[in-house]
Amino acid sequence: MKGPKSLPAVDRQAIDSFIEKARHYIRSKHPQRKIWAVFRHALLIGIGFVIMYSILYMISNAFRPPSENFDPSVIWIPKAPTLSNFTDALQVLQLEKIMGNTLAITIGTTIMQVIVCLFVGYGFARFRFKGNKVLFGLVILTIIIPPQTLAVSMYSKFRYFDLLGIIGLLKNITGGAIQQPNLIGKYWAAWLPALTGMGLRSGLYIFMYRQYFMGMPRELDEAAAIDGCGPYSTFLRIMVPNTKNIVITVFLFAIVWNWNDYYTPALYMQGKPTLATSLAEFQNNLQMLANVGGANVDPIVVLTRIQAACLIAILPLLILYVFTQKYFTESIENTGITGI
Amino acid sequence: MTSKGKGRRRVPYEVRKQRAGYVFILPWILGFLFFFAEPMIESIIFSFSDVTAGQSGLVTKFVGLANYEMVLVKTDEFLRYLWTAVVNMLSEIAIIPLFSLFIALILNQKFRGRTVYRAIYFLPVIMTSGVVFTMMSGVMSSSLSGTQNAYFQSTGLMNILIQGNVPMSLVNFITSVVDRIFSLTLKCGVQILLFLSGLQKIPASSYEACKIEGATAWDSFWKITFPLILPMMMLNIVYTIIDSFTAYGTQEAGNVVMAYIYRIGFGKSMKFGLSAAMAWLYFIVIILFLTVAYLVVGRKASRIES
Repeated sequence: MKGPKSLPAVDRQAIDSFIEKARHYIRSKHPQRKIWAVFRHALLIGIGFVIMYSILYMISNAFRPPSENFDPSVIWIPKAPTLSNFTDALQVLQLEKIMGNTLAITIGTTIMQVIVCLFVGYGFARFRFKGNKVLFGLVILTIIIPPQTLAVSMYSKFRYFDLLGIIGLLKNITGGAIQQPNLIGKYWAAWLPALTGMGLRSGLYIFMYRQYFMGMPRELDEAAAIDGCGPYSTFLRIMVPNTKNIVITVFLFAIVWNWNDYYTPALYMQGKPTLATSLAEFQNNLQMLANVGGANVDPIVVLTRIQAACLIAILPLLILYVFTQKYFTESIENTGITGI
Repeated sequence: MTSKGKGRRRVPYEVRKQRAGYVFILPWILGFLFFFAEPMIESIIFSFSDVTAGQSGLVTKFVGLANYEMVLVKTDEFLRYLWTAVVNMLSEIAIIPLFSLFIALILNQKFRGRTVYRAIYFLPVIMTSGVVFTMMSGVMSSSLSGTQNAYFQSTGLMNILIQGNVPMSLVNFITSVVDRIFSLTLKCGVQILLFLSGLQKIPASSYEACKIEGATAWDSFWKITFPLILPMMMLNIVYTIIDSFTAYGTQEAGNVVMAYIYRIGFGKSMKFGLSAAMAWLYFIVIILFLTVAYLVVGRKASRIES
């Protein structure tokens, strides 16, 4: 009877010591953290691959001759890499015709938005004036309204541009010698809204700047005021030098969204094709070109050309991102771009 | 003399500061009046009128509710496109905010290679807007369902769901989510960024306090992280709704309503009044969804904030 009774006792001791050892191991070495670390990397690499996949796929396809597109033996690296997709895509995109327009609209509008929204955001963040909250609510309203809602009246505004009816009055006085200028097809149709904080997603940038400036300590103003700075020199000397990261973040957002924007140039910039509008017409133009040449339109041929055109379109943005992403991530680390 | 001078200057300083506030936002006020308020009122009038292009401006003729009747009763094209856009938006709302929060929570931890991962996960911010994205996801989905890459297809899943007596509308919804999983993952860039910046703002001391009281990581997520991140969740849901509803589209892909309104107003037909009526109906739908989002998430968030 003693045997079976003592056996579990010995076992229990062994088990207890094993559990104690395991506990000690978990407490001192934290293996669960290592398991989580491995799992985390696996997960991040997996989802990261999904993100990178589309770019890699695009690059891989853009260099393929069309015949290799559905060749199962070609997985990533084309057997006979070719640049013909790019030369064809550039020809159809009419690069020489769209480059100037794209740069004027993208860069011009972006710089205006970055600067004007900086002012406006600062005004909303650091000054307690009457109507501040109501006006800021209206800023939010400008974000949520789709551009189509205002498109028709904006179009007529630019077509017969007028300020408070002054030009219309002059027209009546002079009997039509002075006409309302037609801004449709001119860069001003994009620049004027950008200069007045009404450009594409300007409301969002005002919001971002406001959050940023609200996070700056109040004492800065007081210290500046004691040193004899007025509101404007406080802004220029104390605030602006500290805004590098948020300015770069807004700049990156603005340049990306302006670069990719289709509706503004399509609506108000007729006769001035940009990269986005040209890309939207790409498939039709490609087919037209092929039809004129007398060849049949092979959907596979179209596919590789589209990939090349898309790659051309995002390449400048990719390069820009490589150079700015450091500030971009920093601005999140330090302040939180939209700390709520 | 100096103290007197200071006293005289201090009062105007406050006034000057008030005035300076208006000066800073002056460009926006001008823009709001000229390029927002006025076009908005005009656009409401247009939606009740027959609009034609005249010699020196648009000529409007009041027609009452005829445009709205045309859109809602006499034709069903707009409503069909609207339905597609709403289903699209719902599938994005179902996936994007939670997925982004999950990724942001991971990227917020401290580990080696974090900056590289962040750089990759923010990459979609620069490529997922406008024409490129619509074209790319079109090409991607056509190639994915092609011969060589069939691993993201949902037909198998669909069969299982149908056999399990799941309602057909739900099955369609689920499969549309699965089919778009690629583009949905790519659409999370801005949202991950927003969540990450929100997580950075949570003070480390509150986690330490929780740890001292013996709470597990799971507890501290629900007690600290989740309530503090709710306002950011609200912002993200709002952003996702707006981004989805105002995206670029063509007749087949992307945001089909936006493309349709554009086509009616600025295509061959140039029906300005009809286009304005559609745009206003569309705007009302957007406001409706934003209100629902506010009622579900926003109120809770603002209660926690206060």
